[in-house]
Amino acid sequence: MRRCGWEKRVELWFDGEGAPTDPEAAHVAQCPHCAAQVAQWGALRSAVRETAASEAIADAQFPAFFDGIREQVRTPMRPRGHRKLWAALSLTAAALIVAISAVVVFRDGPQPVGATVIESCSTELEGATIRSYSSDEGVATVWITVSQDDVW
Amino acid sequence: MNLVALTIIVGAVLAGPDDTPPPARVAVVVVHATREARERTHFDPGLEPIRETVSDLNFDTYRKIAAKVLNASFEEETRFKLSKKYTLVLTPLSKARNGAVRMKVRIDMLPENLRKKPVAVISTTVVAKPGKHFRLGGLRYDGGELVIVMELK
Repeated sequence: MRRCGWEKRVELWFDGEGAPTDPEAAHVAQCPHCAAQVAQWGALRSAVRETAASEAIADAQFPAFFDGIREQVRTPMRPRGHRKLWAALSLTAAALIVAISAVVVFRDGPQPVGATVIESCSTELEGATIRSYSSDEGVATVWITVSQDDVW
Repeated sequence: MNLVALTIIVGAVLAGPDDTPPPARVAVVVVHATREARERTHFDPGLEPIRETVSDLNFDTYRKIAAKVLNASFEEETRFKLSKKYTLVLTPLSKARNGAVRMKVRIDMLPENLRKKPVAVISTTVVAKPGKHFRLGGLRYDGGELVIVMELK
């Protein structure tokens, strides 16, 4: 399509959204090139209006908005070496906790459950004998024996 | 902040559980064992759980006198009257991590002269394992003998 000498005027008229009675409007009605351009610009403007809902900052919000920016600009960044030190300390602490927990949990270890054990046995009864043994069934036993003549 | 958290966590881990364990639960079954020339050994109702435990003893009749589960606090004497004459005294001493309980077990006998001190007929220290029977016996009683079967619960 050939370019039109009115194109620049029509573009300015379109941006200013001129009145339908302007000479540019009469020209667009006659010139297919300018009419096509105006149609294309109009479609583009409509699409932008539909998609771009820009966040507006109200006048009352500006002081707080700029205070936030100033604060971030003025805050000095933590040196990288300091960060590494904290990371190392955290790792060391975690390793220490794991090690201590393992020692506490496993220090005595699980022990097998065997039969009951008789450590000692005695009697204050005169003339009686006492002994401990394990039966064939594995039952720990303490048994006292007195002579038939004794009365108790 | 990290050091405070570390101190709290390490302290909690090292502190561990309370030192005093809960009371030991000890089941006690008191049996009157006699020889009555029976063809088949008799067990009173309720004595089935100890049938195997006394199977090697030379008696043919087992009568139930008492059965009770004692809650015996550690480092304290827990008494259980077996008969008019005999009293069982349990003193749990310590508890191992596998659940075994070391305890003193004593059977006191009242003397004929009540002014005299009771006699420790049996005095023993055992390491009782949960679910395992142990027994004391040989005490004269009403023409037979007393057999005391115990089990740490």
